[in-house]
Amino acid sequence: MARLDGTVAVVSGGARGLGAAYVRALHAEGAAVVVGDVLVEEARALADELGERALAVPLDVTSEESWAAAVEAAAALGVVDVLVNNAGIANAGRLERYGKDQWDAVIAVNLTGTFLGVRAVVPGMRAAGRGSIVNISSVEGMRGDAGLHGYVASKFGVRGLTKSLAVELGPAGIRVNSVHPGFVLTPMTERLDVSRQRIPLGRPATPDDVVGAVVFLASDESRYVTGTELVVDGGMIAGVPHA
Amino acid sequence: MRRFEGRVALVTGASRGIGLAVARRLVDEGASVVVTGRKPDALDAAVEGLGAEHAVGVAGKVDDGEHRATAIATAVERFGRLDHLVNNAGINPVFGPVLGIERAAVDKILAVNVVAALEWTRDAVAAGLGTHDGASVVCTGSAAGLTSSPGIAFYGVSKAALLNLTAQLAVELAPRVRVNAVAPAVVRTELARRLYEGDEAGVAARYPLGRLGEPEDVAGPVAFLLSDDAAWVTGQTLVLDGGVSVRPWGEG
Repeated sequence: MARLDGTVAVVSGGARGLGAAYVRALHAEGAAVVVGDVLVEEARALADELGERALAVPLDVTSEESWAAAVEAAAALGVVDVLVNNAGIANAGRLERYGKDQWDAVIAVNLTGTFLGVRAVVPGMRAAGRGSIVNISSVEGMRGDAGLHGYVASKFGVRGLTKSLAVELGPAGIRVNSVHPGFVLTPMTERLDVSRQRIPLGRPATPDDVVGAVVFLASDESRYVTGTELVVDGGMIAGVPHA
Repeated sequence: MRRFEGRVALVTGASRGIGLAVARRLVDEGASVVVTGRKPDALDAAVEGLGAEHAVGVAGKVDDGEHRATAIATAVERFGRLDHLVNNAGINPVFGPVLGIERAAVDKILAVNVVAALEWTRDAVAAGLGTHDGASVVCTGSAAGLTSSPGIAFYGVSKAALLNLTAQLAVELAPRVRVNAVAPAVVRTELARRLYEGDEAGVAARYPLGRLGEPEDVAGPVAFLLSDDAAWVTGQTLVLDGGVSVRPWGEG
């Protein structure tokens, strides 16, 4: 038996990169999956490829109306059991050149988008008495990094929001956890220099290296896990050899 | 789900509680296991329950070097390889203020909860853990190792050390062997009985998920960390505590 048979999952930013990998993995474990993304054509192509148990919906995570429409569309598959808040953007710049517009943009998508996603799915989860919310943070939600102020703040925010939600929603049977990927090869990181990263496992991740953590937290395998952080980084946070 | 087909695992402290639940889970997913425990009778019963074709027991104390050598050699001789080690055996907490603990208790707690994990990991690697893809180690830590833990304070000190050791080992053994830990809060086992006996409902009410942990709640996360599902996870501690550590003191 697959681990997510009979469940319905929504993945924001599910059209490509890590989000698409989560969509494929959840689907392979038996879930019906809603692929939400502003990249409507790419989302539709992925849903078409998966065929049964897959649905593409336009989703701008910064908009409450967009979330409401996405959850309403998801009802065609059933009550949402799993939400993966994956949609994210990154921008960078030294403080003097990092403008408020950049800050606002990254906070809006990464942090406010996560908050709005939770607000949209929780009424259904409460009624069902169950649910698992997986918020995608980052290793940048565990440490600082020069020139990544908005991104770091947004990912720390996602980590904190996860904990307040876990306390409030635990009695309703809804678990909330965060996943913290390290350096993963995706469209978002393709311009970064891999050789500058010091990774004990000796390589950057592919999206397939991260999906196991999301499936684990989405499923009953983690039924007593809530409010926690799961770092998937090849050992970056654990440290580097001094030798 | 058969993630451990053809794999061999060694689980210390597995005659009951969390260790037995982990061994059960690994066998159910296709592994062969060597299990250890102090009491031969309890260990025999555990092996019988696991199925003698997939499990062998080696009785002894986890801080005894001869026992360690025998158990590790048994895995390799009986099943031909060693892929996974679960440093699970832990000693009962000493109850009372940390300033009142006796030196002998300090030494014993460190020997069992910290030093043994280092030595079992070192010797398992020397015996071939890491020669096949997918090798991994999981240490059973505790939420008591993450914050102060009044009443079982030195147990918490030892578990904090174990969690740091986990990160150290992860860096030194990368990329061949992944090393991670779990940090459960109160799980309904013999070891933790004194932490909830007489007031289980009251203790459970402090947990956002509304109940204490069961050994099976730990087995799933340990199996995840041992498996290739966690192939890029190393040096980490997975807190599994029903949410109690994110609830502020005094609430609920």
